[in-house]
Amino acid sequence: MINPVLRRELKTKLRSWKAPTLLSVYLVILASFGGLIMAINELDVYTRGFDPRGALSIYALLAGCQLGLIILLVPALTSGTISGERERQTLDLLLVTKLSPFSIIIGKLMASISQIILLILASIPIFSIIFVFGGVSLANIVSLFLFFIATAIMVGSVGIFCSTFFKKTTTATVISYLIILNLCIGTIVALALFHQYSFAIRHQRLTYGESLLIVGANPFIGFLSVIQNQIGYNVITDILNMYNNTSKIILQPWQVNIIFDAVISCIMIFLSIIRIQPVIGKRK
Amino acid sequence: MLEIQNLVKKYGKFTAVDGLSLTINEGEIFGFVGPNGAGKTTTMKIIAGLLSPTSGKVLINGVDVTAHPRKLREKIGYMPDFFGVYDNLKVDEYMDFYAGTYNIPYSDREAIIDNLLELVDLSHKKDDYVDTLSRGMKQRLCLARSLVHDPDILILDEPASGLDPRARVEMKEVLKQLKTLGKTIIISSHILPELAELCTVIGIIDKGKIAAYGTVAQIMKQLTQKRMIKIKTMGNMEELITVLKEQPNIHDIFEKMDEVEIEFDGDEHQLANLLKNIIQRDIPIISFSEKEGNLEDIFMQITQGGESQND
Repeated sequence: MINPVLRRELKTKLRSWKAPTLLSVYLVILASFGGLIMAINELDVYTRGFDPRGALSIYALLAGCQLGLIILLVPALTSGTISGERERQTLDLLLVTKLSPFSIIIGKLMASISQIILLILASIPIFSIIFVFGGVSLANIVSLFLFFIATAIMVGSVGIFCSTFFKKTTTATVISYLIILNLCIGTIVALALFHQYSFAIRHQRLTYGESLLIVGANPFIGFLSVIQNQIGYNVITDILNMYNNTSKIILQPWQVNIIFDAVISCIMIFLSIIRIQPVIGKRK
Repeated sequence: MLEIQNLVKKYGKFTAVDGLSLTINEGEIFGFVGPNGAGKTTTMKIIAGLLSPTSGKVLINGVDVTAHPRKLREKIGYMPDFFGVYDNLKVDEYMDFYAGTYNIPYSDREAIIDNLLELVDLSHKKDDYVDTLSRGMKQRLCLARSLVHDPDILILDEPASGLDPRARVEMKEVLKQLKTLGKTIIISSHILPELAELCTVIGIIDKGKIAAYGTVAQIMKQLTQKRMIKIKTMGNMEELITVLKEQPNIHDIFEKMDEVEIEFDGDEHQLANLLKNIIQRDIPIISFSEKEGNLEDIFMQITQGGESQND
């Protein structure tokens, strides 16, 4: 049997005007961005017409744009899930049923993630422009999308946790955006500051391990590491001081990222479950 | 059987339920009456497993609700006083959703939903969106929802509150039908007469405590041991009061606009003597009658001062 919360959420979500509007706006933004990069590529004075060598950067930029959109969208989709039920006075009706808090939270998370997956799948035609020029395989795109979904689950679980923790949806939304903003931008700022500090005190850069400790959780660093492996540009090697690493690199940034996503998602889901349980009860 | 043992619920310094104890037998329809803020909703939420008590226990067939909330979920149907519905969901889908939350197989759902919608007289609204229903229909739908898993115990928190007179009558009709299903029902209201004809037992709660308990007749008897007698005179009221003050068995005298009300605790003979004594003193009596015990008055009497608190 499908999780009833997921079933109902999908039904009501796709019935409202919001879902098709979101999908259209998402695709328009992504397609315009892709078109813009291609136009810029064509304007290059050193080549005549479209330079196929630029196709890989178009892919990277499009993918980056998509990650940005996902990270912006997921908190909005998840931070109202539980607080919204509370505000609508439907949460009690849900909690008195046989549905476990785990099913409620997972159903809510899956409903939001399905919407993200729908957006990702709908963007495939835009991405397939890249196939015309070659250089990116289907496996590349699949692994990139899997990375996106892992990120969406992590951001979504943070959103749901905020939604269970704060009574009002507005507060939950603001706090989840703040957390995600900190993760994406705060960690980069922290890295820059620690670099300066390290130069001033130790007269050397932070090591790879140290850098990874600060920005390893940043989804964009993980993304750049996925892209770097796929297109061969050394995008983050310099940022993380990978070239100066004396010991072997045990974990790639994207691996650190996935581990972080998994751990944080589990913790957030667990805390959300504890939080919505009206009466804890005794374990048998 | 449902047993509430010395239940206490505190919110900070405020005590919502204050050592409440009750036993509700199987198949009984228990009316929970009290002013707003008396602790009805809190008690019902604790029974439904939505709140943990500060102390005390609620046992259903000997199983502690707070210790095993999930075990008892399928035994309890709960309808809160305030609730919302989802947008973009049709009536039968709404019922189907809640049937799903109780793991009712897909194949059984249609029949269950049709039956329940018929019970609450909403069959004709099956394909309508839930958010377009009137308040009364939503209340009835919520009642049908609380029955979807065929619970043994039904907890209805103010099912008729906020309804217009017509919707109120319709809800009452549905509740009367529920009576025939043989379920244990706990139903609350802040209006006593509303429950009088429906319930087998009534508990009046005030300031978190049970103030009176029993069948409607028992409660009336319990509270009308002191009879209220209305006396009207053509002559001087002062004179009548002076005479009354000399008489035995009179507890209290209330001077009204054109009559006097007395609280009397004697039997019929003593009452006849009282009238004889007054007439012998040449007071022109034009009316001497016992005030009918009114549920509403009794309720007011029991819950004196309760109205200053609100939910």
